[in-house]
Amino acid sequence: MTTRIKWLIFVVLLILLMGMAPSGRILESAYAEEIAAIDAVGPAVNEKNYLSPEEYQDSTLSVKIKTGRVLNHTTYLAVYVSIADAKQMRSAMAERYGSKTSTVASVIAKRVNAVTGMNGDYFSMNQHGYLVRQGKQYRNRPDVNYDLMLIDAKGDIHIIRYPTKDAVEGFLANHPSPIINTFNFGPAIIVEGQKQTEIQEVNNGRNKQAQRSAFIQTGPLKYIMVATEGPEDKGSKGLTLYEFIDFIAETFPEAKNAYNMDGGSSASIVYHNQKINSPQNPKKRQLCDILYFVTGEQP
Amino acid sequence: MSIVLFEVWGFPVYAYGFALALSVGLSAVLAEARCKKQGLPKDSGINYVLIALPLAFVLGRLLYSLINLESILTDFPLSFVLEPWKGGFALMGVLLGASLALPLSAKWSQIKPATLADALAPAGALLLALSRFCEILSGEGIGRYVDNPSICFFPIAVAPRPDEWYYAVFFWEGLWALALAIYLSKRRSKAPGDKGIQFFLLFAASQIVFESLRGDNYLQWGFVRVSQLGSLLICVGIALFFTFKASRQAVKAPAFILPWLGIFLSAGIVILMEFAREKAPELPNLLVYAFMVFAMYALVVLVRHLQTLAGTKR
Repeated sequence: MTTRIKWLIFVVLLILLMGMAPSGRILESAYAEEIAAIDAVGPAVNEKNYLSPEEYQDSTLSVKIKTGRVLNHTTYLAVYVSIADAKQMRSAMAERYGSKTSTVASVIAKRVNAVTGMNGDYFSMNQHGYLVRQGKQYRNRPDVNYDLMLIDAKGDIHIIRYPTKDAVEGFLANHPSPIINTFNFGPAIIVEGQKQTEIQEVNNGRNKQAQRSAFIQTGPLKYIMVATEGPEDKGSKGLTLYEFIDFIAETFPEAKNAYNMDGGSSASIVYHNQKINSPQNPKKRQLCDILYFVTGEQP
Repeated sequence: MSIVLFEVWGFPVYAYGFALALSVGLSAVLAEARCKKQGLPKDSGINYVLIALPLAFVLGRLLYSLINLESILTDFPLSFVLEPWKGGFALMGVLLGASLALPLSAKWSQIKPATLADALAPAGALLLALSRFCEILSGEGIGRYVDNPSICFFPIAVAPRPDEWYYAVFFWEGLWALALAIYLSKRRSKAPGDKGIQFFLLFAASQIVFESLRGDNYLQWGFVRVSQLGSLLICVGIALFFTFKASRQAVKAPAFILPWLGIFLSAGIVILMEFAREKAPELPNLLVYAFMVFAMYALVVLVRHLQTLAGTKR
């Protein structure tokens, strides 16, 4: 083989390399099946609508923040949200799907013009789940150990306990409204008004006193985001998962469906681009996703 | 976000792939030039590249697929492994392919693999540097979010989005590899294979630290980062090589005890610091990484001591 031919072959290999090595990681375009894509970034927020550190109000979105004590030993924070349109409830990732990049919840919230929001399920740390975000399906691998919360296009949340592929497919087949976002963490706390008492035997720290967070729907387009403090917070001991379920059921009797989200240091509620739960704890864990609310008013 | 530069018959060509191909081309030219300068047979450089390029490509893809098999099968059919144009390559696999190509191409060019490795080492380091710089074109190679505004500027950090800064790990890796390329091009190799070994040793020792800094697309087996494990194995492998060589030159066993104790201690410090980083976030990062860098410096010094014992150090 002459030198010229060798270099010619090399050039051909280089041309092939250009097309065959687009990235060290899987391209986002490789992930398929868009169901009903919705823009993640919300309209710019009018600062005047932040009436106080505990209240936001405009014609499409109402946010009220309350705090209290649980079992006389732990502080909780509850954010009551009411929206005019289901599209105002959204999810966002720290970085594109497939990346392990994480960042603090307030940064993601600021990026998408969120008025308020909370941590998601940190899906990038595992491989399981039926994962849909902003109408795009990324995974179809439900795991019976992680209850599934589905949010449809009407803004209603549905919870499938011990989800299997058949169970999810059966639900989707009978559910007319497309699913916009899903979360795979759990366990379910309240399902169709019924308090849940069984918890899966997985590594969810159910007997450990820790920070907890939950997402609750109380009615059409009405929600509550809840976070309780933990032993790292001054004046709080934290709750076991069982205590947390009791607390949610007793404190929020109006809850139709309630779902446990990621807790511990990941428990983050943001409002006005700041993390507002556990204010005395400077630790801000970096997260991979949030669930949040935007205004429906155009600037 | 990966940038599409242009399309060829509907097939997208991404900026990263384009830049990587240019980098490989440049490094190949340098490799051939250095082989010529070293007095090696004609085409020694291009012979190596023709074998290394496809081998590195295939093994890079295979290793990535093997490590990520569970998540790949979550999202794709098994045939995804045969679709490299969808992205996904492992650096350790690429290095393995490049290493395996050495004895094969050396045989083709009728020279010793160690001699060829010495000639190619600077070009290899240059390619590593350029490929690291290219990573930003696919949004890779960034570290954790930076919340200290006083260090939010390049080259410490980059802002892939407005007002969101992340450590520019890809740039530091590229700079280090560039420094390595310059060092290797100037270093005299009195023993065959010396430059090749130095390339792997210094790359691997640094990669253990750099990989820890990455916050995006790193490969993991459980909680272990694959590149860190692979790099540690490379360092230990080189240490074993020199130990074996020294023992064949009648160096007595007690001479190896302290160096190996030091090597295990260095590895232990790195493992401990990795745990500390995860489980004790209240520890200052600067302290954690200072320990890591010190441990890797000590490891390199100890391996070079073993090299001295083996009688091959300049």
